[in-house]
Amino acid sequence: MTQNLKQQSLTSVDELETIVDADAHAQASWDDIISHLDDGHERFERFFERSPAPGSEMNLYHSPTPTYLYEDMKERDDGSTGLYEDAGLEDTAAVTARIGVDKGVVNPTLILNLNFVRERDYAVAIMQGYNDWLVSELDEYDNMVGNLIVAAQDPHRSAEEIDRLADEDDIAGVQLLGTALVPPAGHPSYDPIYEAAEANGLPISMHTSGAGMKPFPEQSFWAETYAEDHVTQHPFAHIANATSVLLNGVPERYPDLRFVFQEAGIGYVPYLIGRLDTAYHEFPSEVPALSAPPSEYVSDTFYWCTQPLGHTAETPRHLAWLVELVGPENLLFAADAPHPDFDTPEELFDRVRAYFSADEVAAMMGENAVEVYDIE
Amino acid sequence: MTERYAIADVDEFDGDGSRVISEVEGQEIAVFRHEGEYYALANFCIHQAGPLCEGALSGSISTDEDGWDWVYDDEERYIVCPWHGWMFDIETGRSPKDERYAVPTYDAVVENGTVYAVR
Repeated sequence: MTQNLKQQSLTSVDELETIVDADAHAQASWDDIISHLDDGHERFERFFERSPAPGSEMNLYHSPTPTYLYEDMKERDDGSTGLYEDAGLEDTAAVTARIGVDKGVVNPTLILNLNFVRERDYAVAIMQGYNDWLVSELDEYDNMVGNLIVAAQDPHRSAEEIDRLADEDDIAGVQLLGTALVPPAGHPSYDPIYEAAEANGLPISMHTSGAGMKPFPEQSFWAETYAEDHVTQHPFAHIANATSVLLNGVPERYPDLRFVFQEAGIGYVPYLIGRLDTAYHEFPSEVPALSAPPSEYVSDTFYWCTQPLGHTAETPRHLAWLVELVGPENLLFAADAPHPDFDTPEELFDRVRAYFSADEVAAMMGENAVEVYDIE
Repeated sequence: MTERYAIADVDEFDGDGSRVISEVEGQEIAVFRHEGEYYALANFCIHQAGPLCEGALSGSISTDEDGWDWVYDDEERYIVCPWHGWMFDIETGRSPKDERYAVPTYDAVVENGTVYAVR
């Protein structure tokens, strides 16, 4: 790859037709979820009401140290909202517009840790309440679409949930949360989820969590700080889940199903793909489910969200090399709006615009996401 | 120009599944006997140049129609490199796992009790 001066390079993000944040976030409060619980989940209304802190009791956001100590995330002078209060979708929609992003694909925040819930029915109740809240909230903002969440604790009712909501205009995908997903994502117990997602034409998004992952991967158990957790959790959980999905042949059984991996940057991706292909050749009798190297399935159906990119201004060309290794056609720009480790569009665009064609840059900045999430 | 290398006499083979490796003009060529036929390929793994044909022969594992149950085909037609486990079809030289990869093969010809590798 060389800087290509002959071809037409883009010079400004303003030349891009569409910029999509493939990993935006919204925070549903417990009141939001309660108010959307359907009749079948009444007992959980009392459960929430009687609990002084239903989230922490469920280990939903245990972390070694308090998370998000940034100024922006504290309760504000006007008395409104910290990260875990009533951030809703309003802030996300506003931040998305402010940083020059046309569309955001919304994922949860607190509910990123849904996999910690042990009681299956309770997880299903949260899934239903959150999803109905999400659908109603998405109706309010033209620049937002969202991933419905599924409760991995109950793949069959998750499949029904996908069927129930897939036709909603603003539902763009299915969020199968990657952190604390036990067993990992290639286990056959999740096949009903994959079958329903594929049948409804929705991609699987996998978002990890940097907060409080206890059961898996195990190294988190020894993290003394949120920083330690945050560094390791995202890529390690994705590496484990992507490996499980691939080596157990999920893409062979659901060839039209696409996977999006969010919030871990892209530095780990070439390393992971290299190791997968090596394992495929070195343990051929253990990977009968695949008829081609994992890298081919990755190339066909896996997408990687770019955020967080790190301090790319230090050596911009290294990010361009990384983008080339992963492939512009498999990258989705992500801002992570409105979270405090967000990337602006320029953080990716400025590093890659001179190294790739206008089409390739447009693809990774938004067109790929438009296609994967079928965004209008 | 076609080259023909004498590898072994047929009586050096101990039935199906046996092999003879010979060095000819600096190249090691292996001939396998499989279901009464002879197959010749370079004793060279294209992965990291390991002695491919000194490995074990293996059948192959695939999945059944539902994609989950593993099915073992015990036709031992695959040579597995002793270094890193890469496998190749002795009949074609091709990797059954990856269409990009193959090891050099030769036509195996039997004439007057001698097996020749021809290419």
